[in-house]
Amino acid sequence: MTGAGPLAIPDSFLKIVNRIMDASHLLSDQAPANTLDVLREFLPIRACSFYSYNWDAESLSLRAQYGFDYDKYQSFTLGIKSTAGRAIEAGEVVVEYDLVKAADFRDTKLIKSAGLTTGVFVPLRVDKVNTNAIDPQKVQKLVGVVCLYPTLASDTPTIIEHANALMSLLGTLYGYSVDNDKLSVRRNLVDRCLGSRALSGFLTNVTKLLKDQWRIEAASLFLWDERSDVLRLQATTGLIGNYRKAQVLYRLDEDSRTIKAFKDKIPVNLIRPDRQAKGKFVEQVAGTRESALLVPILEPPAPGVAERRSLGVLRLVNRLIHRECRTEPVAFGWEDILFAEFVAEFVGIVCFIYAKSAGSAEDAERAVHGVSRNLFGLQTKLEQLKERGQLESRLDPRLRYIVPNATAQLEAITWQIDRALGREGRSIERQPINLWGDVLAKITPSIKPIAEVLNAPPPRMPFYDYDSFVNSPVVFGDADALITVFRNLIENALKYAKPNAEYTEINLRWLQADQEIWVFVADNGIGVSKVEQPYLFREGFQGEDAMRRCPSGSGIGLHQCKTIMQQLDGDVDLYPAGEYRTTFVVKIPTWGIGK
Amino acid sequence: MIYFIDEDVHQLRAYITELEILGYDVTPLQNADIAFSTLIGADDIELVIIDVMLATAEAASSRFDRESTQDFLKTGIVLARDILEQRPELARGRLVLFSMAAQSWLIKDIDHAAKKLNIEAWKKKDYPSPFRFGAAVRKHIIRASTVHVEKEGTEGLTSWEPT
Repeated sequence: MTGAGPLAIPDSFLKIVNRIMDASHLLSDQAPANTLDVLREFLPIRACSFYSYNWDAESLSLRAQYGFDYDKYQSFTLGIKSTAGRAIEAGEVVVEYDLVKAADFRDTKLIKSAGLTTGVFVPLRVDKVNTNAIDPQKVQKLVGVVCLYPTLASDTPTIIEHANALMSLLGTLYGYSVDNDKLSVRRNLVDRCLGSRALSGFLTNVTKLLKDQWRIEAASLFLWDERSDVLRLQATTGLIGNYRKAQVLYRLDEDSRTIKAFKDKIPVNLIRPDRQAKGKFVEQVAGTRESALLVPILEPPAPGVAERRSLGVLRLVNRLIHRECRTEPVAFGWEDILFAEFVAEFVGIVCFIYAKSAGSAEDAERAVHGVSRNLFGLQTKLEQLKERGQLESRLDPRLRYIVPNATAQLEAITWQIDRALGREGRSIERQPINLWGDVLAKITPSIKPIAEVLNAPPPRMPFYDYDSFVNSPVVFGDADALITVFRNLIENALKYAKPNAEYTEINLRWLQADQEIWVFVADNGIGVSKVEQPYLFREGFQGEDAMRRCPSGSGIGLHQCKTIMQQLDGDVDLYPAGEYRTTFVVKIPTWGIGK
Repeated sequence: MIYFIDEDVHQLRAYITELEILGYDVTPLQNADIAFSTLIGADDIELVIIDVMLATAEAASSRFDRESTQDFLKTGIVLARDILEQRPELARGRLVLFSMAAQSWLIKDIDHAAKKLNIEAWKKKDYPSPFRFGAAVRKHIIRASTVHVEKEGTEGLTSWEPT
């Protein structure tokens, strides 16, 4: 699309407004270029630029441009004393009738080749504040400048007329684009958060997201390490130099802009940061460093807490724009600060939640450790009584099983904590095992005592055909993991046995199915309602009947079974038939490596 | 002398009794700082068994801090490292880490540290039987003594090879 002649000026002003409103529904990195497109279509202009005003640094940062041809000119930032900057100072449309004489006008080539003499500089004004993006506390009334260069000097009055009318509209609509940024990045961030199993993964995803989808050339995230009182690198798109992540840190007494942003809790926007004198840790970028934006990550506001604590710093380098089929680094503007603050706010919430859950998990782990130690002490003493033949016969036989049973439960809790924190769990090692000797024979002796501990009716023994299982084929699995699976299933059968029954009916059978053994664990307990069946293997799920019977259950067991069996390339599922009320089928591969 | 370093030695009473039945002298040491100062000058060490999640003295008088011990989860590892810096000869089978850790990441870290320090890491849950524990300790001490003698006599072995 090229600049149109005077005849293209629309009759109705509404038409141009309508098109610019459409453009403002785009993200803030697309809206300026599209707005200029609309202006070029309807107004007789030869060239035009869209600048964002950065009031902290008193500078203008380029967002879009048409018709210019800078020669080896790298920076796209203007000072407030430039021709365009005067429009900000004046707060109204400024017209420059002699561009050659105008100070700080860069493209002399254009002026000469096109014979341009006049420039119309339109400040973007925000009169009515009603978007989420524009916080009246943070945003001034003037948010940028649009520079319009008429094709002919005689077109100037027409352009001035439109410029005066468009001044407020362009500013407010650009605010809506910034609003769209927030909505869009929030969706991205939620996706990244839900898709990450650990905080480090989420933070890495955030820096990647900013680089790949948000025209930020480089990004790093630093979090405060409370124990060492330093800001430590958690994620980055890449630093110059060869560092191990653990080496990248700032002490709080260092003279660094990153530390300043962290301590002062306000964003630091650096235009053209020292190009020669490199900082301590510098992000890798393709060209020059035009701008760095350091935004504090604060903990979420809490009722009754006046001051929010700093959790870290989000550091961004170079905003990128597309210009004449090239990507150029430009300085950050007010909209980038709002955007980065929004991202930092989200990161702060996620970090806070992770820190809280990690703290609780650590407390739980220590508690588990304490109980485990006590149990272990008891276990070794019992073992010693047995080994030394003292008094063991006088002990309640249940005691010998309560300890390993409780230990197994504590292991399940540890396993759950590991999973909740996204840690790698115990590695499962598959090898040929004998289903009876390595698994069932080890569980069987503990079933009766467990039933007694759970106050369940005693299981009718034997609950599987010994001869049949002794002759079952060798399976490929992890004996300890399979013990956990069968133990959980049998324990469930006992926990949810029919009340007042004389016996708990449990029955184990197996059959060969292709390259798997299917082991059926059936019981005649309270059963699982059809409504609850689809959710049975979900983490933390407990059916209503199950909760009524055993409110202290955690909903871990079946989920653990499912996870283990999937790691073993097998499966466990509810089997929908048979004379029993509940039947689970455990599918164990008879092949060693993958299916 | 076998030094058993654990803040809650009562829980390990069965092990200690077993070792005493086997004829060893056992000295329990209740925190990492006491252990460090005792072991630096001890000349009767047959074996030092160090719990990994281990107590220390009060902050003002302790050589161990939260950061290096990762909130005291790995005090035993730091203690082993510090002792070996002062007395490298103990690496030849005279030190073992003994842990109740259940968290997979901590178990990995302990194994890694043990490998780096050239010592063994034992898991408590592998020794529910004090009898087996006693047998393992005796075997370990005999082996360490043999290697030590060979080292002094022939310079045949350059380092302790964990079993």
